[in-house]
Amino acid sequence: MKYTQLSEDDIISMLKVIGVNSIEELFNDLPASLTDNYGSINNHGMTEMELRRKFHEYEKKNGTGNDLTCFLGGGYYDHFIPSISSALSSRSEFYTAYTPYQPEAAQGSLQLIWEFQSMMSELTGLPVTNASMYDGASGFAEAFLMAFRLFRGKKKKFIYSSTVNPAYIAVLKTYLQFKEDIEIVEIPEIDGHTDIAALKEQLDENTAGVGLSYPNFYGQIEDMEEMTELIKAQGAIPIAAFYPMVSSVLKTPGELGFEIVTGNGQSMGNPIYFSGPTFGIFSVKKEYIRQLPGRLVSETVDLEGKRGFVMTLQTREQHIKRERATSNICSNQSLNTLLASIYMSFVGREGFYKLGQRIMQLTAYTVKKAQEAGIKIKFRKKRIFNEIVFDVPDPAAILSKGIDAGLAPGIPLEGLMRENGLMTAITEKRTKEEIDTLVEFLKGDGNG
Amino acid sequence: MDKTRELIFEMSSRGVENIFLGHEEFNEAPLIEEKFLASEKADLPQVGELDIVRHYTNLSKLNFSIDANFYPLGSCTMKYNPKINEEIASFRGFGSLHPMLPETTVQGMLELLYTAGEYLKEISGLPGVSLLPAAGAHGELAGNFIFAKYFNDRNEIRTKMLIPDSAHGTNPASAIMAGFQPVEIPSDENGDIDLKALREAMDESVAGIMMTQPNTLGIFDSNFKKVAQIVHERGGLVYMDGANMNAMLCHVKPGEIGVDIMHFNLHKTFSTPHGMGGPGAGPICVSGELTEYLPVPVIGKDQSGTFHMEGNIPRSVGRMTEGYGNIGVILKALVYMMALGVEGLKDATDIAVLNANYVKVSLEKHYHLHFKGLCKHECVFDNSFQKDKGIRTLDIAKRLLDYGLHAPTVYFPLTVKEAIMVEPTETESKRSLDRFIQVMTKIAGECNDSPELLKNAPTKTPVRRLDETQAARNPILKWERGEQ
Repeated sequence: MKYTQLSEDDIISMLKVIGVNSIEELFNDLPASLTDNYGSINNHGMTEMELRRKFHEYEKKNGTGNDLTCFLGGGYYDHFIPSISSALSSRSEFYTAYTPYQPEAAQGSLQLIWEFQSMMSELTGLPVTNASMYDGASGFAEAFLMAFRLFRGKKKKFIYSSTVNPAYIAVLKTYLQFKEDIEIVEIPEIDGHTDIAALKEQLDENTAGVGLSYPNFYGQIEDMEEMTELIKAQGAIPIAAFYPMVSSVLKTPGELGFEIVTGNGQSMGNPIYFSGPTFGIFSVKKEYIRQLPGRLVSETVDLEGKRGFVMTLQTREQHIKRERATSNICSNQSLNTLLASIYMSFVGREGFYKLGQRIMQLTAYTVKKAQEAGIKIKFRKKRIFNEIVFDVPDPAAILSKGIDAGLAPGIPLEGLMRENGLMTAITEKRTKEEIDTLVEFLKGDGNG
Repeated sequence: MDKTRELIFEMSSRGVENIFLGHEEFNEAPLIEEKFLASEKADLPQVGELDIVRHYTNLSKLNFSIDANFYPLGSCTMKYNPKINEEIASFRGFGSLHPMLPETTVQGMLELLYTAGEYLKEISGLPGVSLLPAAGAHGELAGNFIFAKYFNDRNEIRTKMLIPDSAHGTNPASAIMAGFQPVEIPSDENGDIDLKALREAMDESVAGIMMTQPNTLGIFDSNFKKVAQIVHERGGLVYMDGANMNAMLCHVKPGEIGVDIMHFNLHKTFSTPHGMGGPGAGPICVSGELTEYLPVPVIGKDQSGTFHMEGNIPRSVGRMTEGYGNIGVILKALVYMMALGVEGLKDATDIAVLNANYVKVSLEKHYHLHFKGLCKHECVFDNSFQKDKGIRTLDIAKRLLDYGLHAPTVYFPLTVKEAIMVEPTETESKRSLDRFIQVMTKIAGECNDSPELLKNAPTKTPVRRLDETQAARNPILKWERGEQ
């Protein structure tokens, strides 16, 4: 197939205007190609009919992967997505526009980014939210780079808890590996919670930032306020890796004392899509705005005094500041923030609260059923929002067996975290029946 | 207030809600201790489904888009985004897959990702690939990490990165994030890199060079192979910013002309939607020697034809992303590459370059052309002919909006004062190019006859020129209850 639309006559007349005899002549300045071999790429292309067939084949090759009852979490969650999400986000006025460089021709994009900033700030509890990062982990790493800049590179110690998502920690280490003379310190855990005494010991005047997870990767709610106070008392910046769904019923990270909040926005109306595209949440307190990475939209007025929106504080950005920019980030994940905006508008104030209640109730139901069945639960029971770690033998084998039985019962933690176990995520999409089936499975096949 | 531009918060009425949870009775109390609970509900809007639909539909109508407008944004490749890509990406069996599923249940997904990687290797002429980077700038960052790790492992201390003055701003910004000091290399009067300056700058303290090819003036650096040779002779590496690959698809492979690492912008070259500013994807391809440094995980295929994710690669720069990258974007790019095939990809480049040269020649009487020779996929004008009437490039850009055409990229590249960078792309018809040429010609006339039309433009857009100074001085970044 091709999507060009010139006729032979068009081409001839255009070549004439240009003053060359052939299209080849337009490429005289290119070095000669050494090959015309393109391996497995087919020569003639494929039609729409052929493409549909081909990709349905790929889809089928996933086997049962498409039809499992999903109890997997670990950063990506199987939440409800309203039907208006795809209906509205698939309007091509949104998806075939680009970064709003000409604000008069992009008020739709700009207003919705601004509305996204407003709604997301409501969930993070911090007043400045950018128009997104690539994902939670790269946002978490950028938060540390931002902390480094805020102290003009003078504070060189970066601390994180071992209870943070291991992918976030890995990306943080990648991003910091070529920074000179810095120190990266991991705070160990006790019974699935950050060891606060160890944190106290490590905190000093040289500490730039401390990364904690809310809830932590085991699904546990830690004593955040106690830790953010300790961190701030030492003049360091508390950084959260955050699951935005908790703000439906629990305190926001801003309220808990965090000054930079990052996280994966997938749960806000985005399909899991094998991990991406999603978007990274990034909110900060007002004083930090000049060191913020990424795009930011402000309300303003036009020359007739009419309300409008523009990208602002662009002097932080790479296209103006080049090597002195706050980050190299350029395009972000705008279409995914549109999905989040639609989602947050749809669930709304009341619905979001009820959603959080439902998740907590289903989680409590799961814990009760599991305990009745004699399945052990790790860590503190009063600190669970929606992820439960079951203390079962050989979680990896249980996952495989579960898949044969039509459900993905949870994530085996071995190799990811210090403690092993099967981590099960509950969302509002799970029903009591599905949970009963899960518990039956864990009691029977799972243990056997 | 114009009702189509109401804020979602202004449409909110207390107590309005959309029901999405089924009725279910629970006897269990929540497990969480009281002290963790929020004292107030998150103040999200309270708007019914129809009004939400109207809100976003109305907002969409305020945008220019490829589907409604000619959109010649230079360096961004705003080509048509085929609908079949969107349809296939929405197949249920792709969107519902969880990244933690065992590999046996995602073989189809892994196979299609592997295939996309193989295609990019063929097109780049480089044997290693990573699909992980989420955007072009993210690919640059991964590339710079590879540079750094490679030289560290060889115990070579190389602290500088050469970057031509015509480069994208992301290049120096990425280099510095990997610990390199960017060193700017000037261009000569042809827009090519200044070889003498390059020779002087290139020594054993330099890790390599980041080049955009064709460069941001839309011209293929006639000395490119020479540049690569100079850098390689002193032990450096060559990075190619592939933002402009639309000008060389299936004509020449970067790996054949001395490139060691490059990134693709799938949202530019391979027609995946720009989405108002993402998601894009910035896969990188690398030479054989650098393959062991690629970020993890890497997709592998074993002898039995089974696909797997390889996370344990000792020399890897490490992990760059939370998951496996922007999968949905990679999938759409694969659909596009399969749809076009080698012949279609070559045709895309042929016509992209033909269209750009046609626009260039047709407008050079009316607008000063910065570089006279053949261009590739884009060409750069400036306001020199209009300057003495007090007309700035910004005025020309805004006037175009009144004619329903999106403005070209303006004020970039920075090496051209008041630049107007036009990239028509291959998917435009001669009819739409002629309309653009006609309007640009008419605007050139207006500069003489009625410059106030330009100074006042735009007047037909939903808002007039906006006060950016006020926004920067006193930014209003979120809605506050009680506003209005």
